Amino acid sequence: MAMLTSVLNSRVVAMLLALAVVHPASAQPASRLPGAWTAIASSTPHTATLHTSTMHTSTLQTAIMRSAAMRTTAPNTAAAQPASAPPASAPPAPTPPAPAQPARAGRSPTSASRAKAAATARTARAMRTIDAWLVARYRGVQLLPDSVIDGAHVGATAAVAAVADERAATITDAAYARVESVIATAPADTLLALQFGAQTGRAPLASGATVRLSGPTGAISTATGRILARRAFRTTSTPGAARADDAAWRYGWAYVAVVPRDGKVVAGSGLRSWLLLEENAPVTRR
Amino acid sequence: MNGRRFSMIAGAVTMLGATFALGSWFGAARVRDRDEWADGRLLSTAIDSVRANALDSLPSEELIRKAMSGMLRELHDPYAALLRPDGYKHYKGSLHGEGDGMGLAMRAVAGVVSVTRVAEGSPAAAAGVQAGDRVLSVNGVPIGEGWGRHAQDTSTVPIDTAHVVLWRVERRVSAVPREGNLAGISVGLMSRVSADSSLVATTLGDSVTVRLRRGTWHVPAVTDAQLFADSVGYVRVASITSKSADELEHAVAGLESKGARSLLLDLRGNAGGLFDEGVDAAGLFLPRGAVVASLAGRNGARPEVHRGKRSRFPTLPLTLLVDAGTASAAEVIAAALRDHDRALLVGAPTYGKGVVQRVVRLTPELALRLTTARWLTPKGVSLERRQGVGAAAHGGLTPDVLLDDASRFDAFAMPRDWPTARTSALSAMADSLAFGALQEGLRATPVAMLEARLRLRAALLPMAVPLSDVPRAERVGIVTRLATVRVLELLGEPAEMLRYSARSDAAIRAGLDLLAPGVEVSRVLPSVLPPVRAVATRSRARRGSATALTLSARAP
Repeated sequence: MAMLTSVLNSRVVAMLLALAVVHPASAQPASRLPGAWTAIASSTPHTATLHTSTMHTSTLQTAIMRSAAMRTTAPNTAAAQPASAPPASAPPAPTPPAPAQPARAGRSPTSASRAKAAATARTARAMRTIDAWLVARYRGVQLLPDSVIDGAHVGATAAVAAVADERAATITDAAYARVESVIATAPADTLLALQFGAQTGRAPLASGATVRLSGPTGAISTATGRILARRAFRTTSTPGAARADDAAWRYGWAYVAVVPRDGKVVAGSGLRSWLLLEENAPVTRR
Repeated sequence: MNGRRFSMIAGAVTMLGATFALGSWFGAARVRDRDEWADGRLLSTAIDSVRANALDSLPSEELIRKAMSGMLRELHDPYAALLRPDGYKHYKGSLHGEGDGMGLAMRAVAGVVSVTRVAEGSPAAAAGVQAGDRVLSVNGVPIGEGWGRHAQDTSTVPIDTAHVVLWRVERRVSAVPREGNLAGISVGLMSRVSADSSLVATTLGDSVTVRLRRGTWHVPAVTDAQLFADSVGYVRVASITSKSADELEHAVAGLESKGARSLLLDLRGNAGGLFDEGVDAAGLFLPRGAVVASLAGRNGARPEVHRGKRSRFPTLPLTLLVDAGTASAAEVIAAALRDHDRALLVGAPTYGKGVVQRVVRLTPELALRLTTARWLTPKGVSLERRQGVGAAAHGGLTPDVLLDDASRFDAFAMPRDWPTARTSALSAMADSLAFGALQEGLRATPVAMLEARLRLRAALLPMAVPLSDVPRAERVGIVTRLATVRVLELLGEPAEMLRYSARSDAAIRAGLDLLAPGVEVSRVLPSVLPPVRAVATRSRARRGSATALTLSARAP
């Protein structure tokens, strides 16, 4: 019995050490870690410029203006937002990724690095789009790095994984991601989708994943889209929620995806409230 | 002696002073009266002069009323008005929740007029009209030849009595016990059927003639009260009329007794009404004695504080749905619950009506409606009229969760920019599916199964020409939705229909995400549509190869 206690104690100590050392943002509730917000804010600044010609509606443009207004008029909101708040300009609609090209022998390192840089820039723009949209949609939203949710980059100790699992259970066990906003552009529409968690056994959509589109009544289209970026976030579920009161917050995923306009699926705002399904997800075939 | 003399002098001085003051007051009053009379005479002289000399004059009464209207117009008060008999009656009726008309809400799609809602207690309800009935003719005039233009609202139809011919699906439900004995029962007895029985609904159409007479009835402020999934109650308050607070209290208490542990309060499109009722309604969800609003009158008078009279649900988790049509007393509720940290607001910026009107009766026929005060939120803020929309809006109440489209979803709606030929074709397909489903006895619940079956059949239906350029998933999706709600409507399942509509209602979804994150109010069973080749094969078997070839060629 004494040995068992000793083993348990040593495990607890190890867990505590892991929690304290490996990655504080993953190991503790995010609300107690203001550094986590600073970190994510510095890595994904909200600075963005808006290509107004690409906007179908003025919603996103005005959303960003609102987000700026929120910072100046709502002290609670300002406190809850990341340290580097977005300016009064909207993000660009992310450009759709170029079709994947087969690797060619003799491709120069310069072109490879250029392609990589372009992909990085595209992802950054997509992240700015999604961050600005979230800040405009939810008063006092907090943007989280994926690591806070899934602990994927850590994975070294069971303790951290356990904490990550606990956190993930609140987010990833979600209903289908649903399109809430559309930036209509040509030749592809940009979709902004949301997913809050409650059900079990459904993982979040990954960045770069191919998704099928399903109408609100469940008719799956032959058209596919691609997830450009995703953002974990938390937002209040009760008014006046304190940052330290984790129970007063809810966790969710936001996605930005692009769907080419090829006549296989309705375009523009008609895609609002459609569902995003993972390409390989099991679906009923009739 | 000296003291006595002093007292007499003091008394005389006081009397003189009082006399002087009284005289001054009377004098001023006389001057004021004389001025007012002079102004009145001036106005009278002006009216007489116009009546006597103007080339195109009007009768005296009309001139006086127009003078009053002009006076109100110059106040630049958008809510001030001179209420004439009809207007006063209508305004008073709207504040007291009195409906006037026949009590029918109808929908006209592609020349087909259907009853969508029958107001409880209305003449239409008394005559036995049901939601889902189709209007064939009114007073002998077939729909589509004139009368149908007024189909949206019967109160605008200038007829007092109407003979309406309706077409109604007759719902005959049979219980089939496992022993195999058939027993026909009425719809009203469905709840008594044991779990061992299966229900089979068969349908027969028939025409019904009803006689409708216009009348007045009480319009309830609470138009929907249902229990959504996961113990979330939903109440829609469409107006703030007399007894609104009572109706709201009754509805919420009823949902609590059914298991609701949180509440979604829908104030979208609620244009307000009585200020005091709004205060009482907000007070239901606040602690006893909490300030709901204050009224600030003229000349910087101290604001008059208003508190709720009864506190019934001070701890019930609550979310409010608001939009650009939420105004006046409905904003009083929303502002109070937000200022007291009782509820988050979801939707779009509200109207921003921060003023209160009072009706002053001039004569039995005439009344003035004037803005007499501003109302302040518990935090002392006065709302300004909203300018702009969405995130760019200034004024009104800005919601905590701002949506692109916070409007209520109409499950019968067609895409806005579609031509009539296309919507007609789609509507016909949906009706065909719905009646086929009813004749085969498909059950309404679970709705996800009904929807999946209808979806499969929609995918197999031959495609009409006007729909040939619509993507298949979209076409099938819309037909499935229309057919599903038609079946639910005809089977009299308002609760299921509300849940089904809520699935595509962005505001309700966002509200549910607050109260029960991740819970679907109505489940979806996504499925891949059968391939076009399969459609062609099955169609060939049913309709012949010509149709099948057409399908193969046109399916996107």
